[in-house]
Amino acid sequence: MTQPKKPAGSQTLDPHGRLRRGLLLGGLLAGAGLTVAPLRAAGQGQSTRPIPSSGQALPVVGMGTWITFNVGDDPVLRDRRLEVLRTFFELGGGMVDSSPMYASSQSVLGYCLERLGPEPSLFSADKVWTSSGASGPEQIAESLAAWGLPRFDLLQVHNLVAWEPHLESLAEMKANGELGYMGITTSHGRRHGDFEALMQRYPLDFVQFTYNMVDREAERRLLPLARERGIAVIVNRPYRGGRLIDRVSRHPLPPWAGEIDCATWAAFLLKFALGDPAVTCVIPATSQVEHMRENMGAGLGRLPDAKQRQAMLDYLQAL
Amino acid sequence: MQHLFSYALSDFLLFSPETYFRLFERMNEALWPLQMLLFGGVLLVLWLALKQRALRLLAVVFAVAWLLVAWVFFWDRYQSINWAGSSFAAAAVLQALLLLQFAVWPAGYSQRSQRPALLLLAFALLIQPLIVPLSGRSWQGVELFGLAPDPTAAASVAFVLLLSGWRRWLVMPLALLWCAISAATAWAMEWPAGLIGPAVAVAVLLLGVPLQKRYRRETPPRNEH
Repeated sequence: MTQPKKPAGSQTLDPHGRLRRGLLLGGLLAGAGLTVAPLRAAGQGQSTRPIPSSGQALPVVGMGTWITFNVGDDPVLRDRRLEVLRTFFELGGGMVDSSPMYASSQSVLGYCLERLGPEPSLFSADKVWTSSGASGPEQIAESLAAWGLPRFDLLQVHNLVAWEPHLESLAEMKANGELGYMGITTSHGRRHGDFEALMQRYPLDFVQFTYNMVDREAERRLLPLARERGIAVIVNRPYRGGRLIDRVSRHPLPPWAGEIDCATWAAFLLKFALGDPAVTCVIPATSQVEHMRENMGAGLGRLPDAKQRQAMLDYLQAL
Repeated sequence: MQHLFSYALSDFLLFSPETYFRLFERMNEALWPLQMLLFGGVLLVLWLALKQRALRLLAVVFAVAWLLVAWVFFWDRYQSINWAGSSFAAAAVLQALLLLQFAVWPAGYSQRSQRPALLLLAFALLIQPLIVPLSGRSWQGVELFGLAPDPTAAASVAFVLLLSGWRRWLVMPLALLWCAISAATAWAMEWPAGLIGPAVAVAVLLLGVPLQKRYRRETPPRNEH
C-alpha cells in the first residue's frame, strides 16, 4: 500500500507542537502493531490516535457537518458556524468531515476557513458522491473550490455509491500526491456485507460507519476487521442523529462517570465509542458552541475499558 | 430498495428547522414592502373567486403567484440549502404554465364546490400565514400566498375545486406533491403546525370532489358548447 505523502494542512507540525508527540509515539506503536491507546495532544490536552497506515496522529474528536453547516448564504447563521468551528480548533480539534450531499455545508466550511485563516490542525475529510465514475474528479474539484483548499487530506466514497470507479480515481490521486488518504463510508448500519468485502479487498486508509451505544452492529465484524487490516475508523452518528442524547439528557449521569472523566452526557456517549481501540475518531455534528465544548470534552481524560463500557451499556439500558 | 425503507423520514432532511424558517424571514425582509401589494392581490383573488366570469383573470393571478414562488423562494432561497431546489423551481414554472392554459382556454365554474373552494381559498390566503406566528415562529417568517409555496399550493387546490372539466386535474399533481413534501418536511422537523396547511387542503379536496361529481348543473365552459 502506498504510504501517503504528508497531507496539506497536516497537523504533524502544529505551531504549538501540540500534535508532534502524538505522531511520534503513535507511529512507533502503530509500526510495532501494538494496540493503540489514545495519546495526549500537548496543546489542548486532546487525545489523539494514529492513522494506522501512516502513524499520523489525529485528535479523537472530529466534527461532522451534516445538517448543521447547511445554512446556505444566511450571513447570521454562517457567522454562528464560524464560532463553532473556531471553538473546535481552539479546543484541539482536527478532522472536519463533509460531503457534496450536504448541500451548502462545504461552501459554509469554506466561508469559515477563509475567515479563520490557515489552521494547521485541520484534517480535511470529504467525500465523492455521484453515481457516475467519470464525473467524480469534477465533483472533487468543485468540493475543493468550495472548501478553498488545494487538496484534501482524506476523500471517501460516500455510501459506496459507484465505489469501483471512484476508488480507482482516489487511488490514482493518492499515488500522484494529490490526496492524503482514501476511504469508504456507510451509515445507519447499511450494507455492512459489501463494506466488509471492500475492506478485505482494497488498501483503504479509512472507513467510516455508524457506531454508538445503541447501534452496535459494527462490533460484530467491521471494528475487528479494521483493527486487523490496519484501517482507521471514523464513527458517524455517535448520537444517532441527536435522538440518543435527547433520550438520556433528562437523566443524571451515573455516579461513577467521574472515573472515566465524563462531566456531560455528550462525553459519556462519545467516550463509549472511543473506548473501542479500533476507533480512530468520532465526528459528532453541532451548530452550537456550547455543544461543541461538550463534544470536545470527550477527548480529555480517561477512556473506559471493556468492563467500564459494559457498565455504561447496563446503565443506559436501565434508564 | 429495501435499504430505502429502513431510513427514517428525518434522515432525508438536509437542514435544520432554524435554517429553513430563516429562509422565509430573510425573504420577507428582502422583499418588503412587496407584501403590502400582495395583500391587495389576496383580496383581489378572493373577489375574483366569487365571479364566475373572472376565472381567466384568476388563472393569470395564480400563474404569476407560482412564478414568483419559483423565483423568490425556490430559486433564490431554497436552492441554497437543498440541491433539489432548482428542480422545485422548474416544477413551479411548469405549474404556472399549466395554470395559464385556463387563461387561454377557459374552463367552466363549478357552483357545487364553490363553498368548500372559497373556504379553502380564504384559509390559504388569510389563515394559513398566521400559523407561523401562532406556532411560535417569528412574524417575520410569515408564509404568504405568492411568495411561499405552502399557501400557494393550498390555494391552487381551491382553484381546481372552482373549475369543471378534466383539464383542471392537470394543476392538481404538482400542488398535491408540494403539500406532501411540505408535510414530510414539517414532520421531519418536528414542527406539527406545518402539517395543518397540507392537511386542510387535502381534507377540503376530498370533501369538494364528491360534491362536484354529484352536481348535475355545472356551468358549462363558455367556449366549450
